Amino acid sequence: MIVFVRSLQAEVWKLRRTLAVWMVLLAPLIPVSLQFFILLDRGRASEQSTWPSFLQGTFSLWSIFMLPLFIVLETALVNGTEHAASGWKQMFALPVERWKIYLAKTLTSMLLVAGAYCVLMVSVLGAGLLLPVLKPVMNFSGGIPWATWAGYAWGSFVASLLIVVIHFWLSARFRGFPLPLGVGIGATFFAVFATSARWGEYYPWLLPLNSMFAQRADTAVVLGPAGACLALALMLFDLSRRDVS
Amino acid sequence: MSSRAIVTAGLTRTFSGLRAVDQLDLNVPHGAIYGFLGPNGAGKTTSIRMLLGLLRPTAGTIELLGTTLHFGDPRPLRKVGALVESPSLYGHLTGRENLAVQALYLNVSRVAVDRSLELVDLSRDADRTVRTYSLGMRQRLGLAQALLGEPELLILDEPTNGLDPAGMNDMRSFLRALPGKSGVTVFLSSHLLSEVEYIASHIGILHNGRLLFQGTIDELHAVEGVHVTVEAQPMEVAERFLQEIGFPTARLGDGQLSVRVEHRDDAIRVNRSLIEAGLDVSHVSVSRRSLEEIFLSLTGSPDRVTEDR
Repeated sequence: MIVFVRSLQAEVWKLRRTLAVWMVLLAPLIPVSLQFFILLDRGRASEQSTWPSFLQGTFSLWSIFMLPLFIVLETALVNGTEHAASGWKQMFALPVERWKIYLAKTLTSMLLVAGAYCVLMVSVLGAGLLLPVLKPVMNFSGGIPWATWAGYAWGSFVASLLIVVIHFWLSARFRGFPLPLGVGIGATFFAVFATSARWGEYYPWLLPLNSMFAQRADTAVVLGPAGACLALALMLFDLSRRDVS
Repeated sequence: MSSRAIVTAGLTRTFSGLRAVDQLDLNVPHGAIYGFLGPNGAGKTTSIRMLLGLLRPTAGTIELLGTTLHFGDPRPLRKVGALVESPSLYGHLTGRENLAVQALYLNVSRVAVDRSLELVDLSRDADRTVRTYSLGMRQRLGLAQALLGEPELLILDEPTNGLDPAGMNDMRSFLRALPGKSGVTVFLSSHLLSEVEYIASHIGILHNGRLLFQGTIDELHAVEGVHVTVEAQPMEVAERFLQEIGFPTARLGDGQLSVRVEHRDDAIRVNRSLIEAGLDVSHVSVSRRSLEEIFLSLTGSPDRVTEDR
């Protein structure tokens, strides 16, 4: 256990001065600012508060488009550090089991994703509070719907864990961006078409979006973490048995 | 403590049917500097990767510091420090941070980090990012990584690769001093014979995945014996005469003969015999064949070597 905690600590150390950390701060601002400027430009007066649709729009945009690409980027950066430094051979010649190192790295990737959700949550609130100030005609009355806000974030996050593991596996096994990025773009492309399909309920890249809609939310918040655990076990088994070149 | 730092038996690794390492029986005594020699592609790096648990052996066993190494169980590597090919360094971290990361895995203190930096003379540059380091500095930092856990066994794969002559010299003096200072066993691979000739106490010569020779430096020289260069007239008569009294000879050109003898002192016998036989001797000198020549003769005709042994 102590060895594992130290491995996790080492992973966090390695993130210093990396793009991976900057992306946690920047990536969530993209869907938030997009929604913000659309509403600033086209927002109209309405009887009902804009808060629920603003939150849903922003979290949807994040979940289906930005999040998968963000995950591709972060897992590729976390593993890319080792590929670039040929760090695997150095780490695996140390008296630490490989699965602990891989698990620590996977959890670090999940922490980075969690960090992005925190930034998303704060910035979406900021944008929602700023909009009625800049555009008083818009109706942001009735206070912040805290439960919806927290529910969207939590559901989408846990539903995303399966994609984190899938992309971690890919980028640990294959050097460089092209393959994981190709898979990520292809899978996201399919996700757009899968929204209305029945199998879309179980499609990993749709789970974060599904978690926001009542009829599919239950499946998404169970399948995401459960699938992540299963994929993680298979991944650790696979990666630990491989020769290190 | 086992008196052997590394023992392998029948260690073999095949890559799609091809035997990269074939029935390797390494025997590295504790406290030795063991030069693991072979041309590029001989199987040195594959062997080293198996010793470090990075590659799964196709067959055979490995014992490090008295403990059997099983693939997937890295515990026997606790007291082993390694530098495999080029050092594994994170360019965006400083030298000190690189070691600090490794210190976490090894559970050693920050004091150990400072000591390692000092040992390889990098204390002054420790807080610069490794991206800005020269090749020599990187190599030294790689060595610091290997030394961080106070290893009893140091496994270094081509440690002077990419160093300039001064850097190579520094590395050699450093390695030579290690066993005396701290009782460390050093196992280092090289394709440059000159690199290990003066620092190694033991030699293993690998060619096409097979060990051609293993033993002390002196034993290696004994395999080839001492050579006496002779210039005598008439040469044909001298040659026949020496063969008759039991010394194998070979013509060197320039009217010189190379005479193989057991000991240095045999040169006196050769000289006196030639003079007593009435031949005109104008030159007698003793030369040990350099490791380079021995190596070439070993790898060039492995069958003959087996016969010699």
